[in-house]
Amino acid sequence: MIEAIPIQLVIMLVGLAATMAFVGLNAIVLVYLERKVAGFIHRRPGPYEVGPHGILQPFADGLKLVGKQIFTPKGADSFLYWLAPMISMAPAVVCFLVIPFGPHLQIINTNVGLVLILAFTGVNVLALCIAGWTSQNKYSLLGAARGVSQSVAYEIPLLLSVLPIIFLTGTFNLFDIATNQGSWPWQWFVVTQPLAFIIFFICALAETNRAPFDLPEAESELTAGFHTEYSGMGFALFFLSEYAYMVIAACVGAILFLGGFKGPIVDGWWWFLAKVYILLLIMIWIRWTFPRVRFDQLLNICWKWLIPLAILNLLITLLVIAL
Amino acid sequence: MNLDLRLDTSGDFYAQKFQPTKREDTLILNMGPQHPSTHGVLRIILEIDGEYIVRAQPVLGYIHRMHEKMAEVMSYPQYLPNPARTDYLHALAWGWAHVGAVERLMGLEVPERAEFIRVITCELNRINSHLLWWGAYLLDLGAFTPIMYAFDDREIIMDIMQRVTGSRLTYCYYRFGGVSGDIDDRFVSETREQCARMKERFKMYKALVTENFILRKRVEEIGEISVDTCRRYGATGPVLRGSGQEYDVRRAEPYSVYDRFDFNIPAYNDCDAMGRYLVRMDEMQESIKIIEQALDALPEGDFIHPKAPKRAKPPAGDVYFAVEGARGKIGMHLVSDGGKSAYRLKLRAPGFSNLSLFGEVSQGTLISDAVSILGSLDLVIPEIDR
Amino acid sequence: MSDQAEKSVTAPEKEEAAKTEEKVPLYTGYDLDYFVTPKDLIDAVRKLDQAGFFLEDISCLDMKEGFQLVYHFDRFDQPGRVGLRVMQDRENHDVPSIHHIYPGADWHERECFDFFGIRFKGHPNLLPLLLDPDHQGPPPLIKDESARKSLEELYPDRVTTPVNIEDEQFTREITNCSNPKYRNPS
Repeated sequence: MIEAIPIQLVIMLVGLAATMAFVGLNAIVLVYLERKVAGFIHRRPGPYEVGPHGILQPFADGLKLVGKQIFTPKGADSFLYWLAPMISMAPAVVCFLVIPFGPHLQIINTNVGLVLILAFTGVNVLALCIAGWTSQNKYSLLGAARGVSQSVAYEIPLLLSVLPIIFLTGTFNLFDIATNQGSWPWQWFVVTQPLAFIIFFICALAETNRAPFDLPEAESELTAGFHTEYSGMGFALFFLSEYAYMVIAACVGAILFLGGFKGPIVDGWWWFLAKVYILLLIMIWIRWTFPRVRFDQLLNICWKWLIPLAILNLLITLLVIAL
Repeated sequence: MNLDLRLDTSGDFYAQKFQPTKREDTLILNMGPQHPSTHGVLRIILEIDGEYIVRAQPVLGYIHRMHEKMAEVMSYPQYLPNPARTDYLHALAWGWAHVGAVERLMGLEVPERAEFIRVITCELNRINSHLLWWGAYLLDLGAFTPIMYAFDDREIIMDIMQRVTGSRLTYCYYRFGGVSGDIDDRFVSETREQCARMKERFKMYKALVTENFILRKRVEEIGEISVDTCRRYGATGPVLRGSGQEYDVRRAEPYSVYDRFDFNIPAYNDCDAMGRYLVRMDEMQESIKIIEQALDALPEGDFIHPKAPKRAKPPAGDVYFAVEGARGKIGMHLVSDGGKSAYRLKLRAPGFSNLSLFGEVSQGTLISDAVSILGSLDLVIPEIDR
Repeated sequence: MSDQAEKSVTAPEKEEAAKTEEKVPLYTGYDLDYFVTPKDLIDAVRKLDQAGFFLEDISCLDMKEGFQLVYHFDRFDQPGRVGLRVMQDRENHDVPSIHHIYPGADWHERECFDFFGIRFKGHPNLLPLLLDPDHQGPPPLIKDESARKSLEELYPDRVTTPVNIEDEQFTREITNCSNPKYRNPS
């Protein structure tokens, strides 16, 4: 018994370190990918100078951010002000602990995995709120106000779109949800629950503040919204956590609707990564294609369309299960 | 921590004059002069209730250079490059207004070929100006990609213009009695090629951008300006035509050879930002029509009047000359005392009048809509501040 | 010396200009041009407003007699430019603000205040518009005593007596004002 505890702890610590590395690595890949895809959509080469085909660009970006002056605005509560980016980043790391990357590649196999992820991603709102409030800047304040109402509104259809899957599988365990689906695309939940998948994806975009729902940081309206005043690593942490939440959203989407690590021929982490990156690419594609929606339109989409549709979808699913 | 931002009296002169009204729960927000969507150095002081604008007051003068005083101390030819610095996007129209006013006061005739060259280059410049507006407006609305496409087209036009005018943005091409250099066959063929290319591009722009659902929701029924509002504020150009009034200086006070070309004046009765958007999109196509007709009918002859004076010295008197710029009616009120430099030169900037109605139109709108309205007015701040 | 050189250059031009003057009427840009007294200005502007004109701009001149304000009006449906000229004493400014008829005049008047220091009567918000509020010294477009020109020098053969705006003819003229070169497309 005594020997078992340290092993658990060791797994946890190693897992946390591994997820940190994974988040960092993903951010590097995503920064490069985002800029290259943007370049492709804009018909320009994108980063090209740093390293072959600009492959070292993310490192140059990172170096620049590390080297920048850490700046606290006059009159700001510096403790809360610097706490906000950490609050934003920390839960993102924890969320990766419960994600099954492959059949034998999961750090903690817990039966509340999905609940854990949904709960921890909700903490991000708090970070946003604190950042906007303590920046002592009116634009930040407006950005935070937008961010909070947006996140709170979109939590509801997000949960409602996840519920049918839980009813179908009867578990919150992400590993079990993945194994409940077959290896071939027509055995995935995206086929039986297409509406839930679309609602989930839209909500994921809104929750991660990605364009066209990037209202809390709408640069043409609120300069940079809640992170207007942040410089150097404070900004970098917000930036990093945005990408981390994007990856989490794509992971959850891949597990719930696309069969997770299950795939044709041989199951494994490669299928999982491929699915995650396809979802991420779609997110990037959407960002560089659409204009930003207006705030009241954003909330109208949520309350008038997504929530009723999600409830309808849930009821139909329940009816089918009951029959 | 001072959380009651209403009691903040640390603002500058204009912020102090802009006192909050008696209404509760409002916030004074200073938008600009360094704000991404004010296109330069426009500053707007807003009183907002949540995200709704209660009151808006533009503050100007951050890039004021006193071009009108410069006109009084510089001789006429020395002043030639100045008008291009006011509205850098449609520099040739401003140059034309200045050159045209002096020519009319002197009674100087312009050879026909020079008039045609002026029309062609001015219309190319107009397309360039509208393209940049198009990209920047969509940037304001959060769509990043169109500006890259617009610059793709602008680049070609700028290359064409660079060969004949010698510059890429602040052109100083028109002279008293003509233009500074003749155009050649390469210019003609390249312009024709670009016209053909642009026609295809407009189709793509329509399919890609104009018909986008989110865009339509952001511009339709936003910032409605009636013709009467335009009249009371003196708004002209696409802002006026977006309200359904077909008024274009090229038709109303035909100057140069514009009365020989067949072109439409696009006007939309919607009065909203979409109307102004569509007017500009159509205007580019009309400009291409004009350019093609002008290239077909391009006469031979001098590109500058052979007896054009090196040093212009118009007789005493005053003249008001207006041309149609990309943003509206550009007017020059030139008073001469018969000397080497103007006694007084008053520049009428279309953006100045167009912006003055913003305070009225923006009342009760959301900040996002205010950004959309500002963008749809197509402001060039150096032109407004002069 | 330079004077000499200039004369030799401009001499043929003057002849040229004189020749063209005979052929075509000299372009001024104004279809109608009036001098009005400051107290008549409001009524004149009201009449223009009723006739459907819009305010193009307000220009100002510094001259020997004082300031000359030039209001430019034009019309959308039937183009034609009307100029209203108001003479102002250098010290006592009694020109009324027309912002309540044309709200767009607000900024033009503030600009005149900036550049010439003209105080419009009844303007609600006469603050510097384009200049720095801390600007010291005289307004920038005020001319030196020696550089000022008189009305006769600037407008050699013009009637500068104010028009009687109560006259029926004034109303008729502005109503029928139109640009001869404008052709109705329909």
